[in-house]
Order: sequence, then C-alpha cells, then structure tokens
Amino acid sequence: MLGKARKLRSDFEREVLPHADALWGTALRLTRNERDAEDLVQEALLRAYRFFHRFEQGSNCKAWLFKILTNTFITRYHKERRLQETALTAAQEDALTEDILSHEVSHSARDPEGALAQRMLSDDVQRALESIPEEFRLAVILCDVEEFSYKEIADILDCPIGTVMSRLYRGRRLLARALHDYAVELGIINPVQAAQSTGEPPIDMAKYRRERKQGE
Amino acid sequence: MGMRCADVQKLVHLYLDDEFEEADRALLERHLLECSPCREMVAFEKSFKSSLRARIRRPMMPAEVRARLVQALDRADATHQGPVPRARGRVVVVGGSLMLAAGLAIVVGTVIREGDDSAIAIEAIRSHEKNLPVEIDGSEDKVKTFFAGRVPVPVHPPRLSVLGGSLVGARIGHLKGRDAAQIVYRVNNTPVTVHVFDAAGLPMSAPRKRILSDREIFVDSVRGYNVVFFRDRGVGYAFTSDLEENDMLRLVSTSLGQ
Repeated sequence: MLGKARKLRSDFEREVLPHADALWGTALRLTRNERDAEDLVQEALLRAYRFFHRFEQGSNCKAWLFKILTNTFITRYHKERRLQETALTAAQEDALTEDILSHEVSHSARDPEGALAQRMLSDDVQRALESIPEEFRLAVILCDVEEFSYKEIADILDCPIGTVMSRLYRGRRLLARALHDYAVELGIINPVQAAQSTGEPPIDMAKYRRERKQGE
Repeated sequence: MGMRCADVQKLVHLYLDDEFEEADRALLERHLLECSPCREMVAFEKSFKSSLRARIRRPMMPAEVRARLVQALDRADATHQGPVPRARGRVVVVGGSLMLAAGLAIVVGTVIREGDDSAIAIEAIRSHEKNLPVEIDGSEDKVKTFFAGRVPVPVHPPRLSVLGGSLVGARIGHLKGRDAAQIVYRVNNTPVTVHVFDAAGLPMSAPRKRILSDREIFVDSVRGYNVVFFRDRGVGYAFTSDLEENDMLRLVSTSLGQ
C-alpha cells in the first residue's frame, strides 16, 4: 500500500474506531438483530471510509458517522416499511392524547415515582425502546443515549430542529407509555385513570417570547 | 411576566436537554420555585430521563464483528475503494489502471480536482434523495411510451435485469432546468435513479472521468452518493445511487451496450 494510502487508513482507524461501540449499539437498536446490525455498521463504515477524504479532520466525527449510519439505515432498511410505521404511529398517537401530563393528578398517585423510574430494568427499557416506531426511536437514541444536541440531531436526520423536538417529545411519551404498560404487566404499579392532557408538542422559545410580549 | 404552567409542560424537555439559554432557564426555574405541581412534574421527567440513561445498555462491538470490519477495510484498500488522497487544490493525475470484471472497460486515468462538484451531480442527488412517488410503473417499454412527447428526447430505459436490477417505475423530473425522465430501479436492494435528459448545449464536467466504450464518463461523489453521467448522441444520462463506483460503471456499461 502506498505511504499516503497507509496514512489515510491509520487516520481513519484512529478517528473512527473509537465510535464503533456507539455505532454498534445504535445499529442493534435500529435493526433489532445482530446480523443486520453488523451489515449496517459495516456498510456505513465502508462508506465513511470511501468518503473519508470529504471529512474535515478535527470536526465532529461522531455526528458525521451517525449521519452516514442513519442514511444507510433509511436507504436500506427503512423505506419498505415506511407506510406501516406511519399507521402504527397514528394508533399510538391516540394513546398519547390520553396520556397523563396535567398536574390535576399528582404524579405520585399516577405512578409511585420510585417504582417506575427505579425499577425499570435494562431489559424492559430495551424492549420498550425497540417497540416504538423507528423515527422516534432514532431521535430518542441520538438524544438520550448518544447525547447529541438538538442541532446535531437535526443535521444527522436532515430535518428541521422543530421536527427533532417533536420526535423527541413523542418518542419519550411513547417510551414512557410502553414502560408503564410493562410495569403494570409485571404488577409493579397499579393502572390509574388517565387524566386529560394537552398532548401538544413543544413550542419554540422565540415564538413563546413573542406571544408573552404581546400579552403584557 | 413569567412562565405559565402550560408552557412549562411544553418546554420541560428542552430545559432538561440543556437546550435553554441562560435567560429562559432562569424564567423556568423561577416558575418552579413558586409552583409545586410543576416542580413535581419536572422532577419526574428528570428522574425518568436519568433512569433511562442509566438503564440503556451500551453494548460493546463484539470482537468477531470488529475483526470482520477490519478485514472489510483491508479488502477496500486492496481494491482501491478507500478514500481518494487529497489533492489540496492541485490537479493530480493518479495512474490507475482498474480492470473491471469480464474485461468491460479499462480506466485510463483519473484527474482529481478538489471542490469541483458538478451541478448535474448535485441536482441528480437531490432528486434521488427526495424519493418522490413514481407516476408510472411496469416494463421498460411501458415507461418508454409514457415519456414520448413528455420529455424533449427519446427515452430508452436501460434494462438492468442482467445485473440483478429491477425497474420500479418512473416520473417526470427536472435536471438543469430541463424536463427529464426520472427512472427508478432497485439493484441489490439499493435504489438507483437514472435521469434521461436533453444534453444539447449542456457542459459536462466532474472531478473524475473514465472511458467506457469510447465514451467519456463523468464521475462525482457527494455526501455518500455516486453519480455517473455522460452524453450519448445528444441525450444525457445520469445514474445516481450509493452503490460503489465499480458497480455503477457496470450498470452504465450494460446500458451503453443496449
């Protein structure tokens, strides 16, 4: 191998391989099986390698890699099932509107906070996460597991920040609901009457400030 | 002034995700000081989020998977599928002689120019990515008939079945301000878009060039996609996908032979 090519290969390994575990974990949660996860990561990393000359050394490598992983996932695995996922989302959104968000019902009554939050087992969290639709799952993974900022997530998913916020909001609600259901199933908590809630997605601060100013 | 409870409910995630600026953060926290239901709600969300983080497993990539990955990188190096060495603004000629399978073509040389992404490639990728629905599906003949009178050039959809490609369908698109036929295939489960357009008076250039069947073929790579385009008797063709360059050249070669 030529000296220059050898250097590129070692630069690549030095910059990229530290993120291999994070990419593996995400691929596993997206595809839900080891074989597809391996295919996905390998394909994504080979693409990253091919286009490594387009990567600004020193810039945000993790976000760049996750963007390639996401693109690869969407192109290869997601598109065929897009319609099906949307249908699921609609049904689960109905469940969301019953969700308990208002503070008429105290949180300790809804869910002995100790019980749910502390007794959540890794298995349950895993199961719950894998049960929610991919577009929301991905947003939650990027924010809560990989700790990207909203702006980085918007760049990775190639969508506006508002969409990121909305997907996070719904993803977390769906996750909480799934965990709540498991917890009930396991007898950890008792189901409580659902109360009214707004179920509206978050607003942006600029708009909020504008509206408040007008109201003064 | 001051925040209302309804707003806190909507903004709690931004607050907990550290996406707030100082001033807004202070506003919210001031509300929390005075409102115990909101305080409880935020505490719950905070606890949920941190339990989630704590309980999410972070599996390590298994050693065998990592080993196979390294082997794949070795293979990429051996077949020149690795990164193109930087030219740093100079024109660099790399004496590559890349024999494609079954003696289809010989790559004569590669001229690499940085920062010269072709406008055709950029547009082709944009419309490939949009993945808009097709307006017609069916056989290559049906597609050919569909475009008669709808685009200014005769459209002969390439038959890619010999390489495992299947025609999904087609729609009317645009390229460089002209109506174009946008034909969608799936090759090995990968979408490939072929644009057929009027290339009269359209300059073609790209960072890389190949020679296939005596024709000049332009190759560009942008954001993980490869675009291979050329002119054939006044008609322009652009193939876009994230397949490797060699595979794309095989597709082109097959089309040229038809």
